[in-house]
Amino acid sequence: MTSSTRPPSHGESSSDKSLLIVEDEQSTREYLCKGAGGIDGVTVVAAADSIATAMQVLHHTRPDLVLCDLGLPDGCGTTVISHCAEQGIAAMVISIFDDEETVLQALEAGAVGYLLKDQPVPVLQRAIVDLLAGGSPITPSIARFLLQRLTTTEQAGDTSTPPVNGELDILSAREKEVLNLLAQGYKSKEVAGQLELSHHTIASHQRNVYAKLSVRNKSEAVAVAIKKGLIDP
Amino acid sequence: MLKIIAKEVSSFIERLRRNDRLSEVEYQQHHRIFTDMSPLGPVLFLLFILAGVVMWDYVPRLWLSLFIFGFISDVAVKIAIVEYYKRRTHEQQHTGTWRRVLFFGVMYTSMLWGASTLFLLYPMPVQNLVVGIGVFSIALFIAITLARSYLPVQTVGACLSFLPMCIALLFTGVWQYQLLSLMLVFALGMMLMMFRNSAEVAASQLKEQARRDERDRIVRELHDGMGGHLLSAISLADKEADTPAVQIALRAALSEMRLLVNSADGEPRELLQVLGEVRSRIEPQIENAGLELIWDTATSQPTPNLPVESQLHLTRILQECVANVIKHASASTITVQARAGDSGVQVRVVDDGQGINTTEGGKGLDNMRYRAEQLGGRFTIKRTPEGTVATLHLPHQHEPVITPSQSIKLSLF
Repeated sequence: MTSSTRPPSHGESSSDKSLLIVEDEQSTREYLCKGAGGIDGVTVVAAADSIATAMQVLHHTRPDLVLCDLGLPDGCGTTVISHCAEQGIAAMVISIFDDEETVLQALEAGAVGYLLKDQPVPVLQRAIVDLLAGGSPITPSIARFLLQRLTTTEQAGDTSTPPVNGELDILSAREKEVLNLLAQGYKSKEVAGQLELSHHTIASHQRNVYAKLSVRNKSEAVAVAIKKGLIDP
Repeated sequence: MLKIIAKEVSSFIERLRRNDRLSEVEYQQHHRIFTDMSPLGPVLFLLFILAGVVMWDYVPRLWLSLFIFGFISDVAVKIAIVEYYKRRTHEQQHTGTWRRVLFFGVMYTSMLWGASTLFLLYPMPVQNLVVGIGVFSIALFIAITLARSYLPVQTVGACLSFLPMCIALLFTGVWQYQLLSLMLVFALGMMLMMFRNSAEVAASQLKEQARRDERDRIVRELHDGMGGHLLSAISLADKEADTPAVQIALRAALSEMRLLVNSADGEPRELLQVLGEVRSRIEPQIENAGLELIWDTATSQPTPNLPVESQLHLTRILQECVANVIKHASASTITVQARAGDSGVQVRVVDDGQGINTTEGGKGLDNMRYRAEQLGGRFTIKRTPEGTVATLHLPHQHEPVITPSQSIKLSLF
């Protein structure tokens, strides 16, 4: 369990955005630190290699953004992510894979972004800058997972269970439209152009959808409980 | 680093081999739940007949009530077991509860009718029945012992073990016995039919489940094993500034692996969404080469859902097209277009380069044509004034894609 806290070097001002990196594999951690540290106005305040260390760091600092791996030696990174979500700290997943299960698990825990670890440095940097500016980088496959996850209950809506928390209209028509275009490979900016909306509106739609997913995750648990209690004891 | 990867690959393959055997064991455990319930009915039935025969002289009415009680309790136990199993595995049983009640109901009522005719009209010589039951029990025992792990064989065995009794009854020369024998044969036939059905369903479900488990395991292994090593290889290659080619190759390997992991769910996907993912794969490559990508897949008509093999074919065709443009065309922009019309879907890759030399890309071109054929479509490359246009034409496909779960349902009804 090591935590390498970088001493602030010259030229870094207090207005810098602070970043916590949680990644257990050393060379990858260094790669990410180097990549993220290379952005103007961003300081990597700490790099942790386990959930315990990350929680320690989060106990006395409040970073602007947390980059968190999922497979950590002492558990799943979603622990850190849900802690961050509760504290209102933006957390982005860094993972090797972007399969449906892993992505949804992370987003349900409250992650606001998802990044593949092997992305070249410029892509990594762009995603971090985008997140710090309030955006939510999203890939076509993630948009597709979200569409599937948030709309299937609607189609398979079995009438015997009452919708929980207005589950039937969990996505607005606009959000669906945006997600659909994102799933077809369009960039946020292109979607904004096609729908004649501002880039910021699209970004806020994306964050709303993420939020809805983690909320729905909770209400789904309630729904399952109700269903079990009422219909299938 | 390469040694580490090689080592990882070999241990990965070894683990897969072990997993193969593991899933075989699980497969059999699933089976046992079905096998344990199959002899229950006949055994209960015979026990109650025996009890009835023994007590016949003393309390005639008791026999009938015992018999009915036996029938009801047996059906109840069976339903309970099936329901329990259903709950435990969260799997849908394709034979519904009422269907089951109907089957057992018809079966036992016919037996009851036959038996009561016999018992009410003609006193039963106890010895005959005892011999019949004895033969039956031994046969049943052998069948169960021999066929512990395989449901169809065991069920057939258990049912056939009634046969000696039926034959014995036929040879008594008393028509009531012969009638009972026929009733039994009819009941056994129905039972066999039912179990054959449910065994088929169960077997295909279990196979599907085993396949899914296996796939999940492979994915998990890729996740936890290979992925990490490839990634550290990329980070290591990054440290040494003079190995960009190694890095690119490793990224491509990881990306390939991701493609396989992500398509492992076997779900059909809409063509435009497949293209969307292709974009996220090819765009970094295109930008790296200093080209511009124009994405234009807006269609008013819905595009078809592609099964997983087709998704991979489509992805490969586009990857190959883009790689060719980057390598040979010295173009400055690549445009990917998709249009859905009445005749089908057209996916085009257009570049503004110097055009292609068809003899040069011979093998790649053949490959793309082959993949297009596998998709049920056509692949063409043309030179036009605005550049080179590679077109994949996919006609509308009318035959529905039948998924395994659907085909099971079809076989039952």
